[in-house]
Amino acid sequence: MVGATYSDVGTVTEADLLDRLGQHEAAQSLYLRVYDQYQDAPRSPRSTSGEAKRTGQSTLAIRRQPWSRSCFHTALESFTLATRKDAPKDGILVRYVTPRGASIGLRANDVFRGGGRRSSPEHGPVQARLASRR
Amino acid sequence: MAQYKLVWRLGDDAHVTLTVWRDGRYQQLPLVVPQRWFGAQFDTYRLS
Repeated sequence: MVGATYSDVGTVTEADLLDRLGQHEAAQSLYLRVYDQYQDAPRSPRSTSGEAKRTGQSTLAIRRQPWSRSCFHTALESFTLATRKDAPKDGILVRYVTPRGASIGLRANDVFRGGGRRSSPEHGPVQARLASRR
Repeated sequence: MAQYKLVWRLGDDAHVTLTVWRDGRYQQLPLVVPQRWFGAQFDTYRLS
């Protein structure tokens, strides 16, 4: 996976994706980075006790769990992950190209998967997008 | 499709880099699009 995020929302989205892919430690570090910057507390003692009541586990046991894992105890959601090799599952299809479009460099049947901004070396072609969110 | 059109109109820089699926692989196309007018017909694509 290739990606670069520059905002709290983008970082949380990246962390969500990593968590869904099972990379809980990496996700947790991103969540904590957002927490350090924005003071958006990931877990308070009160939420720990609430989780203990709900799950029947001790608060100590819950605190030992990686935070990101406990956030997604309801299991994974569906999402689309396109890689450098996978054909896109959705996008914008170029159906017909005029001479102007051809002169720009477009071709019929191209499928746009991203972009629209000035290019940046950090922006790779891999597109990760959540198809549905809670 | 509507979302893409909206996002596309948020900027006016003629120099853009698009990621497209072409010839069985992803390619990045650095394009110059004056007035952000492609001269093409678009449609929503879904893998059938």
